[in-house]
Amino acid sequence: MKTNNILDVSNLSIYPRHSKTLKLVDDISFNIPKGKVTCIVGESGSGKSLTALSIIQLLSVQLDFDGVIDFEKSRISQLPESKLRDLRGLDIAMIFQDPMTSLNPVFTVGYQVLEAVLAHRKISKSEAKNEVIKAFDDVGIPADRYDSFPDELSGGQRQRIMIAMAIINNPKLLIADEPTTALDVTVQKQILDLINKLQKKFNMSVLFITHDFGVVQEIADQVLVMYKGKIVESGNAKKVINLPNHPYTKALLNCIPSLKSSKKLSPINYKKLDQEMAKL
Amino acid sequence: MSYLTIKNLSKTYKKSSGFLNTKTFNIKALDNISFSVKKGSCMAIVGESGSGKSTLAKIIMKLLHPESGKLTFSGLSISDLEGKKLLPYRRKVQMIFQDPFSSLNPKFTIQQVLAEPLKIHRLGNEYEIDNKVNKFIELVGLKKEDLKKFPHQFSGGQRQRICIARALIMEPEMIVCDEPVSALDVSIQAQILELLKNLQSKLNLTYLFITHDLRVVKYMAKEMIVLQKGKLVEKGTVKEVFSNPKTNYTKSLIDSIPGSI
Repeated sequence: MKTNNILDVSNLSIYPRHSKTLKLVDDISFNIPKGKVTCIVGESGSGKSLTALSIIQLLSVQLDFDGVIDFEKSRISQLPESKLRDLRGLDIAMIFQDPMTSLNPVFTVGYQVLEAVLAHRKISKSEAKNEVIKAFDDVGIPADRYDSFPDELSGGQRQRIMIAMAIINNPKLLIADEPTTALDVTVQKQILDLINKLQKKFNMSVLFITHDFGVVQEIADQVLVMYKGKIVESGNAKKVINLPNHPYTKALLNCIPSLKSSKKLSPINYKKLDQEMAKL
Repeated sequence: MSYLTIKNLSKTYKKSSGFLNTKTFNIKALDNISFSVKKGSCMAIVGESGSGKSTLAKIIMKLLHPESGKLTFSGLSISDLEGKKLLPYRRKVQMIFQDPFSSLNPKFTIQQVLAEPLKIHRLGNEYEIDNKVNKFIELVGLKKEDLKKFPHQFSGGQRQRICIARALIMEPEMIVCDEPVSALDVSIQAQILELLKNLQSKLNLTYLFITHDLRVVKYMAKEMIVLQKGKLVEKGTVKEVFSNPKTNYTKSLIDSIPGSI
């Protein structure tokens, strides 16, 4: 295993328990370099979220996976559930798409972040509270919001709380599953800037899932393009965006309305795409 | 000549809080807004959440009553019309909503979804209605066989096509699109934008296009207004506003566009 990768995934396949032949993610291998932002891009149904969930083994019980996942030096794909619980939230943290539903409405946001600290570290409550307030400061939430309930905060603020919860134990790997899709453009920009800033500050590795190549351009060092459960193209983000190789990547890039030119939008023609892919 | 004119429109929401709701305070959702739209054009309404853009859409649809202001549509004053007198206006102005998952009745087949507005407005007998439903489902790129299905059997993009067919079946002159693509994937978004653009030139429609994505504005619209906290802060052609934004708010909106593809 190369030392400059934090995560190595090889031959990962995900399928429903009852039918092994129906591959939702089909034999993919990739790695995430240390201290870099890696983006997975694809449409809904391409398997990008399943890939992320399989890393921390939060797949639905109806699904199962094959393959080897190495995190640093340990083979996490074979860890028992109890060891996984120690890993989740401590070394590998996750931010979900919808900040409206990923916080518990009956607890204050401060308490929910506090819970994340106390679950993993043996420190006193008051020390933990100081940690929470420090994390709030990192994500730009004023300390007096500690006792607020989720419904008293805006979508962007809630996503900041989720980020605070994710980074509070200084994770080595942060998985963000479309963290800005539910947000306004201006708030999206703030959240992307925040993730960028925190990634540099703590030298985290980030796996960022999105369907928007604009976001990829903003944040990614490395990019993986997924289509129908397979990785069709991967490499340096700038290179892939400027010189896409695979017909699907080209098609996906043509779906984004351009600011600079007034080119015609061309929706993906799946029939033509499949023909082109068959030729490869 | 302007087609839809909005003059000095204001709307305030009253909110109460405190013990027994004794404290009341006002939220100005729209503050003295005026603009006009030309026939056959596409006007983009831009702003963040809370800027009042959906309130504006609801007032234009006559789903909300403004405190003050005038609404004129092809020379007719609409502000004071009520009840049955509104029917012709309601027919000419249709709306497409943001969320294709909640804007279709789950208990209706697509046939029923599309036929219902025609029945309410008593436009034609059963035979004529059937013909029209068949025609419009194909216009938006779905098949006749899809009419027997229920909304849950469709993907998000297909549901949005059904919503578009439902709006078009009334043969409207103007469509208010309230963030019609923000709940969709980029690839599906491109399909729906293409469809809306083709339909506009084919049927000579006027669009009021609400969005917070300036990439979509650039693609769809010629003219735009920018709302911030209920106030109209910018008005002009898309070219002018993009190359020379007057307010810091508009600048920050332009700067927030991810990437520069």
